[in-house]
Amino acid sequence: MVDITQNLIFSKEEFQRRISAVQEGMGKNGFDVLFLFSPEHIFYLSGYQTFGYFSYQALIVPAKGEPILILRFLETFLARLYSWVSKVVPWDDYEDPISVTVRAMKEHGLAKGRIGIEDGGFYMPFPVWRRIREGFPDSSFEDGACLVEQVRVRKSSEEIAYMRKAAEYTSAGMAAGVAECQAGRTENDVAAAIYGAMTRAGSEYSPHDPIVTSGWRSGIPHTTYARRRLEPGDTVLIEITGTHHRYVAPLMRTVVVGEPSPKVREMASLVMQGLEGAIAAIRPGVTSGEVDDVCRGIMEKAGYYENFRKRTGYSVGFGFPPSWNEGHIVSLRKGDGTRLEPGMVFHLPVALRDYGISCVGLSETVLVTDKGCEVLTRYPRQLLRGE
Amino acid sequence: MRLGENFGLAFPRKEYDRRLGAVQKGMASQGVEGLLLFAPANLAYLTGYNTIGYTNYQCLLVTADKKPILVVRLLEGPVAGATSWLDTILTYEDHEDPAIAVRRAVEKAGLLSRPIAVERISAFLNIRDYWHLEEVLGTKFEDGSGLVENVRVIKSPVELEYMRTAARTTEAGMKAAYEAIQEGKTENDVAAECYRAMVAAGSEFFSSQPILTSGEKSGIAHTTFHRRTLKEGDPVLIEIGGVWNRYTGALMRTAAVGKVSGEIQRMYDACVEALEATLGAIRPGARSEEVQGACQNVIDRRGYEPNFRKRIGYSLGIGFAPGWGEGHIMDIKHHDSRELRPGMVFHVVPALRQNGEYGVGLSETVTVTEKGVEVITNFPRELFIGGTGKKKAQEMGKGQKKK
Repeated sequence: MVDITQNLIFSKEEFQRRISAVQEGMGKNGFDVLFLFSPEHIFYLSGYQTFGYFSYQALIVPAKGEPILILRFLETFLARLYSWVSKVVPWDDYEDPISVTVRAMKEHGLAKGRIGIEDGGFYMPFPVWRRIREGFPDSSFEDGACLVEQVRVRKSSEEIAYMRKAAEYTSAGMAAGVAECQAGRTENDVAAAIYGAMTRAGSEYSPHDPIVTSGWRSGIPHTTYARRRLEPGDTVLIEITGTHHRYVAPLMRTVVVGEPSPKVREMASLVMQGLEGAIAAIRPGVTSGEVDDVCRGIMEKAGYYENFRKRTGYSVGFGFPPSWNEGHIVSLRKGDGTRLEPGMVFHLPVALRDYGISCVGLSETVLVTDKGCEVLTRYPRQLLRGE
Repeated sequence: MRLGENFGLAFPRKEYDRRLGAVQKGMASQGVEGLLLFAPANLAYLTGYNTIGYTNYQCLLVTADKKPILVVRLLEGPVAGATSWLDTILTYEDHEDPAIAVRRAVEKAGLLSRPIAVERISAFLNIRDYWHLEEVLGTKFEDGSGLVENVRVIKSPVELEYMRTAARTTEAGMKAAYEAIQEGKTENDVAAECYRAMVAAGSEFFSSQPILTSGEKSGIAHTTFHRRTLKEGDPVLIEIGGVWNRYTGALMRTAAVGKVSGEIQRMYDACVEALEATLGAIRPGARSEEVQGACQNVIDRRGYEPNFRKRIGYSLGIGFAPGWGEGHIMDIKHHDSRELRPGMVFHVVPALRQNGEYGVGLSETVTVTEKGVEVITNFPRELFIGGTGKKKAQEMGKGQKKK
């Protein structure tokens, strides 16, 4: 057996707190076992991380006691590096991983009762589900992913420290990107500078590549860099995150190449008011919908709702490609009654689009504190200017 | 403006027509009148639709003889219109049920209560949404997995051209990485140069970001850059793929910091010989398992059988994160009698690992031609000794064959 030095990125107490909180939720909701498949939930509870999550992997959490990791043999070395979980069951490439799972659960007396399972997300396609269902004829299955999400949504001080570190990488990337926003440079030049600076500062592979979109293309949602050359008058929308031990701190800024048009100035003023209004509204006890009302209300009053028409923010923490978004856990959106609690973290991307013409967006990553909130991202909050 | 250089359709319209026709033919032979697709690569392949918002619920309805209908989130409407050739794009708002929008599309196509297939084997259709959609449509789906993939597996001349262009950006990244390797620098310093150079050379957002791992960590599968400081004698394993119009050109190489130990060099030499044997076996009509066998013979003869328990290659083409591979479509492995055909593209990756100690490997992206094989990536194959001054790296750059 090769000697691999364990390198836990959180304290044992932190992992114990997470597992205990999930097991408490299982007890309250009458689950005997929780069956998790997404790299996010597995990482959160076990510490194990890989970019090989395209292979079948599972974390089995019993109502009491230590969880079990089921991993492709190649991945077991990473479990020894990153995870505190000692029960690791490998499957070889010539074996059927679901049979291995069923066998392991039977050995541990976990193949009956009420099983909580992740039936949403990217990692539960039809064929896997069918095989699992067949493997546990005496069990009933229900969606149990929310039991982990309810714990994940509040970040601990150890997690916040990593998000602050990520925010440093984000700032380094933003500064490098903004400096490239000059007429004659391409969107790719801007993105290249961001990747270079952020990674050099210490950032890991990002849950999502930098978003850089300019000119008329910036007025089309979900475009990103595609070799377009910057021209005077262009708005350049940049949305990026640094990553530290998988934790993120996203930030959006807009650069105008040369002089902003009156329309761009007006949109910038509204976006600033919307973002600052939302930040001022964030405190424990307020509902998600109330925060959204403030920002959306500013857009509606100014006659700009059609140019906004989205939620004000979403939860963020850590991530694996293709997304840093925890919006499925909680979003700041119209009518949402979820009450904010200390330790929740939100990304607030407030953007207005003059569709097909330009875009102005600003965001911060914000931590809910005991009394109000703290902005974790650190970059001048203004419409930025390029030559 | 060159087609696809800025925006608009990435391929000539007749290429999309050909792809769609081939999928419709497959549907007819399976007896289905509608096909619901969810994988972003399949949507882009058939329609051109290209977004970074592909994690939202989206669905393409392919019918037997009419134009497909796309269902996307409202926010995606403009980018779907700008990047695809479709006329009919239905949208849903954030407070609406997307399955209802899919039902509208099915009704519009007159296919309610007709036989409809979905791609069951897609990471982008989970079981919860699958059941819900069956309920909303009042039907039981047939399995349409593979109907698009069977067409995707053979690349057209234009697709191959994009993969060659992608490969040029990949090579720029590898060269920049070589030049950045230096004792005392971090893995991140080298990865930063990889990213920067590939994107500056024109690469788009990645299907898989650079993988770079060094020292003992290179002996652990699926590690990547994590701020480790480089020491003399470290192997540095690099695997990267630049992207052009969503097509990847993938490349793996191994470098070492300052000097290389005899055992690492011997292991790398085995990989080079295995790669050459693999390329020598690739030709139309060769069976997947035969090609794997050609590689395995070298590995076994060199005594590395315990260090190599994997397939030698997998199909490569259009992709969206997380992952550039098309291994679910076609791969090169033992006990696989499928034959290689002209136009297939593979990422061929002989890599060996001494678990927990070191790992080495190299790869090429290749296409099967009428007579044999064409290597799409173009980069010197020898193990590179980095950190011995800039001169060496420049020589490596010059070593590239002129296209």
